[in-house]
Amino acid sequence: MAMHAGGTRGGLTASINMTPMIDVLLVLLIVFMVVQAGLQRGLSVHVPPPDAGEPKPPTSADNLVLEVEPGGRYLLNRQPLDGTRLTEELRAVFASRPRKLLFVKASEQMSYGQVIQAVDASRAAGVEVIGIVARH
Amino acid sequence: MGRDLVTRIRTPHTGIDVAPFIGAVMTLLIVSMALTPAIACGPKLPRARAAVPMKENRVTLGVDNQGRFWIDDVANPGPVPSRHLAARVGSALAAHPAEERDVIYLKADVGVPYHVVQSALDAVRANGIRRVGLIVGPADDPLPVDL
Repeated sequence: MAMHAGGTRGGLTASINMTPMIDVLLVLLIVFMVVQAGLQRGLSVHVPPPDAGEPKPPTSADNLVLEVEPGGRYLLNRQPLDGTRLTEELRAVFASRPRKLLFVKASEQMSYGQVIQAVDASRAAGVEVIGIVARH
Repeated sequence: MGRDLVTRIRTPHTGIDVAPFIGAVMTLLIVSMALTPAIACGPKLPRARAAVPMKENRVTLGVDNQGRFWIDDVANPGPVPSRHLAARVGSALAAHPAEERDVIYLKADVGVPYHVVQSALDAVRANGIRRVGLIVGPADDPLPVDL
């Protein structure tokens, strides 16, 4: 954006003042560099204390334990669930329960992604507290 | 440039030509916008629809697709041997103020075997932490946050 000398009249043509534009661009640059660091999302779960007195949660009829089995199968207190409609079935189960608490248990050879799917489906079904069952 | 003494024609001072500078800045801006999500990836996070935003400045335990553990410990970069995991989580926690020790985040790769994740959770539990935030990536059809 050099300044142009005037034409035949010998005057000057003022050009755009670039300084504010450079300021804005630098601010944008810095803002994007900083903002990328934050803003992560996740699923909040509870974990039991170490060496809990009982390795399993109390198997009272009140507690629901969702077991994640290989092959996309799920068992809720030993009753099989339809894996493709997991969220809907969990929602139906929890609709009548005041305590939206679910324990999620998976065997060691499952992949983390499958466990996340179960936790995510439970959260989508309205479960408020998800407890991860420790291995024993 | 300046006054030409011979011909006595007054030419204006030209300032710095800023057009290339602006081109460079805009290129930097666009490149950083495009590359930063790709660089700051870490493990391949699983996708979840019901994820909620997580608070910042919490101890983050990472597990990559080879099952190695990483802690957001700037002083000791590099993977953590599993036998030291609980101790290193403890020292990472000690470096945070008390109000940032309520939850530990777990950033594990989607394909990690669950027993590796359970080892990570054991290290977290051994430090007295009861809440874990499982960090996930965005889903194609996320659910509204107020679940």
